[in-house]
Amino acid sequence: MTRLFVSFYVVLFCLISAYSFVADMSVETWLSDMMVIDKTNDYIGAFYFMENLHKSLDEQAFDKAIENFPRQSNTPLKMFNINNIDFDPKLFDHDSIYVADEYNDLLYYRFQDSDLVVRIGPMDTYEPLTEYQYWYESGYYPFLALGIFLWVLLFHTKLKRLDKAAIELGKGNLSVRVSQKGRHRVGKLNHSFNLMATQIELLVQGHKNLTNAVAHELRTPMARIRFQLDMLYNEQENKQRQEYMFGISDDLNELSDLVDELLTFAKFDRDPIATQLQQNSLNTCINNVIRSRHFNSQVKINYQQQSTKYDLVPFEPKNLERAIGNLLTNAQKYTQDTVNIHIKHDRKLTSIFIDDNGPGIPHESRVDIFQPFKRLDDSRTRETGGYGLGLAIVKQIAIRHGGSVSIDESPIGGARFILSWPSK
Amino acid sequence: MNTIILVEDDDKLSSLIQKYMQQQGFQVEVIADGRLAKKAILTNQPDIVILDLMLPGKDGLTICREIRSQYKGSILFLTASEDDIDHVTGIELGADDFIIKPIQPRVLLARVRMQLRKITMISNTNEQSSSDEVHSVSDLHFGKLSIFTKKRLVTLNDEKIQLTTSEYDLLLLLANHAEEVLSRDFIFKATRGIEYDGMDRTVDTKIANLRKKLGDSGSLSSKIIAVRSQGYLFVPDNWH
Repeated sequence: MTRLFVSFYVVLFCLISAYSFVADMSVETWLSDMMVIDKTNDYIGAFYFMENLHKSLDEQAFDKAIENFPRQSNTPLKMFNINNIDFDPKLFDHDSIYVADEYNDLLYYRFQDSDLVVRIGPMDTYEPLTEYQYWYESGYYPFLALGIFLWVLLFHTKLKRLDKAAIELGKGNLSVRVSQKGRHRVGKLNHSFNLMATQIELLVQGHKNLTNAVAHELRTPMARIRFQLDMLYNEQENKQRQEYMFGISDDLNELSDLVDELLTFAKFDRDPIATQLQQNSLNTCINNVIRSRHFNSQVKINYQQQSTKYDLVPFEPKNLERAIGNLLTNAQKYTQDTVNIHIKHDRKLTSIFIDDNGPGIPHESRVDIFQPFKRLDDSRTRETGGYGLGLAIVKQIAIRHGGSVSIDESPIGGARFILSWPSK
Repeated sequence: MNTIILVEDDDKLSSLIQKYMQQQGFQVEVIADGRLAKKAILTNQPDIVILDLMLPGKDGLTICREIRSQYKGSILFLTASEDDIDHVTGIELGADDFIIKPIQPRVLLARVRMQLRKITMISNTNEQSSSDEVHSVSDLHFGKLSIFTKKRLVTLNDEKIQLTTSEYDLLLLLANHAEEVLSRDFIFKATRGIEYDGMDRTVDTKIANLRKKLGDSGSLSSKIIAVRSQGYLFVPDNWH
């Protein structure tokens, strides 16, 4: 608080001082000629009247008039003879007015056709007024300081509130938020802070859920291995022992597959979004996927080839193949007998539609299903196989391409997955 | 014959558990779908129900809540998560014990037997209190392991085992609570009289020494089993 105030005040003080210093300097160096003219013009009228007075009065009357000049006048007068002045009289050669000190209003005037010179000034001020002005001016900086202090105090309490929330958040209380009331706001900072806190909370929650899910997915095969191992240890009969060993091997394979899939998921979760996408043939990509998954002969896969005109679009072939592959595996798993694939292409968006005639996906699950380890029956049952990461990976790949994946009803009665991304 | 209903959706694990428990003389019925569990449990009234927490159709906590008032036997939860919330809710709902995956068959058996003993204990409370005292002073024999309490002597295969005082105390403690999972906290308090701070590994070190001297080493130990995140279990029937 003190630091904020002091630094703010010092900066302001220095700026003001520097500015007035520059102003003073400029008056002294570049503007002094103008000052001289200005002062001359200030008094030229007074000298005119004095000249006229001198002309119309005789010498005695004039001297008396000068003598009776009011003592309290701020601009005192004094008469000189041209030979008695303390500067070079040649200065009067060009002009009858000589400005000796433009800052204190000290001027000399030489009367026409005479040796008389009048001095006017230096300018004085009524004493109480000077005093008053002195006090007024000396109050300037303290007054400024008070204003700044109040402003900083208010600003500081606002910042303090934010700071407290940030510390709280840092300590791990992720539910902390700051007030967004007008009098608590520091620009848009409060809003941004809350946005950040919400994001962090979501991320951490997501991470926690994922970790729990991973633990669950890993522990079931581990439990089986543990069980079989202990039973193997106590088993005497050879054939039975062998059965346990094969069982353990199966479970290890399952664990290893799961870890592979987890690593893939983690890789996509961590990798930055692809910036430069190469143009590739979509037909080739989809045909590759279909070829590698055609062994499931009960399911008929129909794919309408794209006309070559629109075939080249930007994507990462390996990753897109994986995404389409996952969607296709999914469709093959849940469909009755048919999977249809087709592409829709326009200038903005390239979309791949994968339709099946399985049971479909209810509306309320259409967002959740892309979460890692979410399955429709929410049971982690092995019936349908897989680990619940396939669709989460599809979503990550879609995001990498700057696109999205969504679910609709398919015209042949099941689910339709739509994977789309920008065509350019 | 004691009856068990196992509600577990993982086919392989449930068949393994079924097989093992059948070998141990239990009658085991497996149910894979949570929705079918309630009816089966209430009609058959088994001695023990082993419930997986995550189940298709209906989760273990819901099933527990639904059956508890009409089912008199013990409920064991089988869970992959150590989340305290699960435990607390489970106990509030009337679960009797928890087993955390990955489970070891011998630990599962001990837990099941423990529950059965509890049931009999409730029916004859009077006998139990007197037998406990006798138990601790008389000599103990488990297969080839013998503990002679008066002489403070331990033999395995008729050979004398050299144990330090604290190792002997620890073994006696475990043996007196055979088939019970003893927490580190409990062991610490019982052998040293100080509260366990959760950091000290002396219990683990002592157990490791004990195992080594009793010929029960490696992670496949079957005599004094470490039960993950819970404690230690003395197995009475593996001393051969």
